[in-house]
Amino acid sequence: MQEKGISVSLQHLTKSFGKGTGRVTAVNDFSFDFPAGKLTTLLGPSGCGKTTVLRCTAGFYEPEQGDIFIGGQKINHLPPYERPTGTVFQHYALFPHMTVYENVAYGLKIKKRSEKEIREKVSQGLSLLQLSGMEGRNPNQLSGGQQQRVAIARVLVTEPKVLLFDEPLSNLDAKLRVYMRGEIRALQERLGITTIYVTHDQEEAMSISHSIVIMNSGKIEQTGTPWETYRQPQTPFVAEFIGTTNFLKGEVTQVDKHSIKIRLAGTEVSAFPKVPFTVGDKVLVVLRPEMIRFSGKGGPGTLPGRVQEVSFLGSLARYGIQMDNGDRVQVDEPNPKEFRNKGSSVSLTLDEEAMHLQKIS
Amino acid sequence: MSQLRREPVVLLVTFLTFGALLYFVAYPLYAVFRESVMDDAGKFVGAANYINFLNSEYFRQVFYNTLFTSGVATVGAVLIGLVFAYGMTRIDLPWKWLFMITSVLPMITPPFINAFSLILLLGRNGVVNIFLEKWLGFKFVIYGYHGIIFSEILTTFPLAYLVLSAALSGLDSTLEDSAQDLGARPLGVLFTVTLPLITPAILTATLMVFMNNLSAFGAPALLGGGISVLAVESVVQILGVLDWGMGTTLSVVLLIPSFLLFYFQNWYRSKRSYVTISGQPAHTEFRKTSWKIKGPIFAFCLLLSVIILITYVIIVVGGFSRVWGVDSSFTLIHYRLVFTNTLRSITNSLVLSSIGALLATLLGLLTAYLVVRRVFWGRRLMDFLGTLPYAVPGTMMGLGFVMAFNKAPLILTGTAFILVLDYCIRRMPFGLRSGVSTLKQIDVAMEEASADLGAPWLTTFRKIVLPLMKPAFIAGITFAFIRAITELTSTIFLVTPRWRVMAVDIYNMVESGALGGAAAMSTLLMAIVTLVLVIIYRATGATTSMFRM
Repeated sequence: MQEKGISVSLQHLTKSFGKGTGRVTAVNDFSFDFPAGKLTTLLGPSGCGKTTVLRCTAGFYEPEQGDIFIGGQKINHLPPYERPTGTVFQHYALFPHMTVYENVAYGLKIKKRSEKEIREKVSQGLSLLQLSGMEGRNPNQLSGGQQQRVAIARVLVTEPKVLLFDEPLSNLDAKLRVYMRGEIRALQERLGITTIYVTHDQEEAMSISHSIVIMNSGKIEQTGTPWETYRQPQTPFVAEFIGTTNFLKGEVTQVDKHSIKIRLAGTEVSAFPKVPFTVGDKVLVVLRPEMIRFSGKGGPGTLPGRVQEVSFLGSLARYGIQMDNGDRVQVDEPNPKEFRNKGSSVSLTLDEEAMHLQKIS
Repeated sequence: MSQLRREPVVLLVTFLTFGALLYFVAYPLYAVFRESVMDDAGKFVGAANYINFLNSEYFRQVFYNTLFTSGVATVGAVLIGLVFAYGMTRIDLPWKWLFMITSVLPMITPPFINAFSLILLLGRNGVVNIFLEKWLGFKFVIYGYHGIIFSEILTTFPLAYLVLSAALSGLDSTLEDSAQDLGARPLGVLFTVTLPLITPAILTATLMVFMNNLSAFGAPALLGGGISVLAVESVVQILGVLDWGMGTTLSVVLLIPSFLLFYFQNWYRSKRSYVTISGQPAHTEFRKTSWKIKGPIFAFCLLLSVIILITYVIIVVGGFSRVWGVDSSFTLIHYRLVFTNTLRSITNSLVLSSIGALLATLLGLLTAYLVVRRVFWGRRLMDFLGTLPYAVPGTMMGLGFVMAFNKAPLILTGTAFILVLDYCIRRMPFGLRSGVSTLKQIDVAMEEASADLGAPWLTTFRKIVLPLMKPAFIAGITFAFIRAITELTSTIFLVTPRWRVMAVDIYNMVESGALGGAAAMSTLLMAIVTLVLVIIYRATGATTSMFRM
């Protein structure tokens, strides 16, 4: 069943910690409207402020400045137990002195629901997370993945309007992480609850989010869909944080109606920018490793270089190429048919339509 | 754990340590037991003394008094400690620095000084009573059950506070966050999540405080009035009535509940099932608590702190008053007398406590090393013997030393050695326990690396192990010194006119009514202890950890 999700809006949120010279501003004038009923990820390196934003929304921190709106209502003054939010913590925070059943029933008991209703809801919640039969277990008898699911079930049975995930998968091993994030995504789409998800893992963010908010040092660097943030990174930080990137510096030599020509790495290539450029502009060309291909022959529009290192990663071969003009690029070749050895000469072509350009001022 | 049994030095050290523990811990206790089953002529009479004890209505009353006063005091101390701990770790109280001081003060001063100050305040000529009589026409005299209980609560709640605040600070705060997130109000969180999770700590605190109060001597002796408890009665029987049989019997009877608590404490510690899943505790900010909750807690802590401060201030004042309760003019005569008549006691206390503390810590750490790093027959026994003095009431230990070492092969009674021995043995368990926990955190690979590089065992011990145990060493020796110099319960048996110590002198002065002198000397003792702590704190920076055992 689809519920229409509730809106969450943060306006000019600012939060600092510490006193005197040790005072740190974790979040600086953060404003964002989280799309209702969708999963938005706050993504960024450690210390960027994403967890602080989440905890302010949950009510564990009081911001110095700014307002928090849920469903159009300002909730700044509400303590956590009065907010319609439900948080899934990084280390699960399961009550060790209670069984799985008691953990999941906790929120309902507080709402003073009847025993019958609690039992129904708990068993519904557990089966939704494939935990039926675990009611009598203690948290320390469960695996990491199971603990994670109990933590989610515990929050879901209280029917929160907003779901908050604080790096929930960082303690799980790689395969389980991939599996669980798929489960979380499916769950969210099915229930349609507005969700804010915090992680530093950009692959995770890309795979489950409807929108991503990339943060750095307390501020927003860029917001957008996974597609937009990957293919059109607006700052070098975003380009480097999401996926791997190659940066090539070039200069605009010609401007036509729908395309421009750029001189870089000793040759001239075409590009199709979304913003206007003028001849002589310095540009930073942002290219993902898979946007560079090996060309059989040399010639105009190809970039000559030499293989410095090569590694085989199973589904692709990863090359570090030293260009003739000194630039270094990483090239990923999916489904490699042959190996190019260290030291061999190569010619590269760029996927001109995928190239993203940033003006260098 | 490596077994380098081929090293003769280690074998010798192990053997010597074992021997020392057997001779200086087990033997004195045995001596007390033995005396309790003999009559005055030295003939074996079995359980005769114990039967007399059970038959005597007076002694039975003494036994109930002991359990009653220490039980009630324990409940009070733990509750107060809990309120303090919760206030300091979970609520944004104002003036926390004050509460921090007043919660630690009673730990570094002799408990009997607190009893003494209550006499100055609420004794027959107590300051408060003088005013009460003048204005309201009655006196509230502190002697009796209520005096003992009140004094014991004031002096032992810091222990409960330290244990509980450590537990509360160590709790993963996301558990309480999560409870609030699920809708529980702060009080609900306290009762459904916080308290259940610190139940082990509450139990530990209760056991420790109970053991402490059970064997208390100073407070009941000074404030009991007509009421006697086992520790006091055994001293009376030995030093007053000269009935060694009965005195030792009472000591042994006191040992029973104390030992049961000790055993239970150990068993419980090993049984603990749920450990909060660690990981970095999330940064919990003190969310502003409403004054509805904050107010009463603040008022309570403030009231208690004021009471404690008054008890210390009054002693300082008492040292400068001519005749307490009668003539309160300022005088330095008491201090003059202290520095002339009792100068010997002061130097004795300083020197003997220092030596005793040093030996206690060395022996404790050495034993800790052997117990943790070596495997040998009797290892468990060595661990037990090293910790045993903690479970034995001070009176019994003191008695044991007197009886074991007043005849061949080693006659120590009447000398300074027996005092040093007493300090050493009674304070060793702390060094042992803190040594054990420190060693468990030091990777044995370091010693293996040292051996691999060619160092014999003694070198490794000197150059690698001891330096790494420095924090335990410093904490151990400081704590041992403070407890030694303020010690009364066992020292009271061991002093002689030639070898007196400050604690016993103060006690005697209070008993004989020389309140001014007692106050002056008490102030001096507190000053010494504070000075030692300040020096250590300046030198290292770590203080509170040393009070937890």
